[in-house]
Amino acid sequence: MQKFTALMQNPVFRKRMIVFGIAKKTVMAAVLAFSMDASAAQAGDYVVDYKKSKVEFSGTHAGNAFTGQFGTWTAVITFDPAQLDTSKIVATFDTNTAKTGNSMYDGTLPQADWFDVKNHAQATFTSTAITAKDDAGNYTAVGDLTIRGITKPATFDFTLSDLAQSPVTAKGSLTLDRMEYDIGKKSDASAEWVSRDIVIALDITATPAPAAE
Amino acid sequence: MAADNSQRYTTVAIILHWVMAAAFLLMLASGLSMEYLPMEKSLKFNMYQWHKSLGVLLLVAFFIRIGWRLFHKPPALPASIKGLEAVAAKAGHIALYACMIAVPFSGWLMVSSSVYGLPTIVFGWFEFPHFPKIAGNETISAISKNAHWILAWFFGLCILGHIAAVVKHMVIDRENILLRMAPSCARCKKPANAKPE
Repeated sequence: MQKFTALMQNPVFRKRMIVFGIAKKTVMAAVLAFSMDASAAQAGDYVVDYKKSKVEFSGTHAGNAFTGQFGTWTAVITFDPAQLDTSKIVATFDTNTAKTGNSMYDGTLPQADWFDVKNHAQATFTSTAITAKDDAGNYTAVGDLTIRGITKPATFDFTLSDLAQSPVTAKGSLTLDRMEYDIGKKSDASAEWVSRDIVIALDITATPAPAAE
Repeated sequence: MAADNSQRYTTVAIILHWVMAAAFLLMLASGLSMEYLPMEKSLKFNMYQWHKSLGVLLLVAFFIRIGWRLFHKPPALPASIKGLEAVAAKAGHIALYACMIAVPFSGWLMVSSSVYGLPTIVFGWFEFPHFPKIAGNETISAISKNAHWILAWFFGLCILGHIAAVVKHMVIDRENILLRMAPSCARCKKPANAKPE
């Protein structure tokens, strides 16, 4: 502290600091202006209405169907049918919020051989390409799906409602092989109990983000 | 020989004996079925959960029973049972008690160390915890699985021996030893000097 006080009293240092201070302010202003611009909604940004949206997973266990949902997830969506090149979906799921309502399953899902929530709290999907299948609102998203820290390419089809009317709904599903992500690899690699195919069903409601001012 | 109440187990001991006997027979039957019978997956899964649930109750029941046993002396053996027979009776009962704790305990270790990691939810009622710090431990899993299997068979043999001994005393020795543990004993409640009706 004494050193600092001495330094502050040094006239040469103070002069330098003033110059630096002005420079810093200028940079700050520039960064601020830029970031404001960047954070402002772009055309095609959508805000997900999480109350009306759900991400379900389903499969079978011992011959019986089970269905669960992710309680907490976020999706950042930029979508413009005219600019599919820059359209993008980035979704993150909190693995410890995956619940089926069956306490037996819900007690097992977070464990090391399944979602391993201690080491992998989140699963993510990042699209790499979105293409239109037709003019009727059917699209295909290709991307990287990461579960348990294992990333594999994943593709799913989705259908959009009329983009001219807000809110917009998107429905789609993909079937994944849980063994590709080592889910239940030690417990049940041969799918004696739990099906290898797990269906992820998306039912998303989103509204276009307010345009930038 | 007419039994009187001094030669009968206490009511609580009698209830514990028969309830636990029925429960252990169900456990042996379900355990053997799951091991050897071809079975629908969902039925098998449900049977496992049911077996685990009843196992937890039996684990708890053992401590109630042993606690009761420590504070309530059982009736003395009939005078006709002596020497080697008395020793065998004592050893048999100790073996039965040992199995009553060892079999459910090995089952608990087995479930707790299993790679499945399935919780034990006792009849959908409450979750019974796993034995701490052994989740997914493959060594303990293998040992406890074998132990559960061997001990269950040994328990089955002990129960057969137990029943065979009762039959022996009833048929060969013509002594109604079952009255000691019978659910009710109308004759026992009457004073010893009551006139026959």
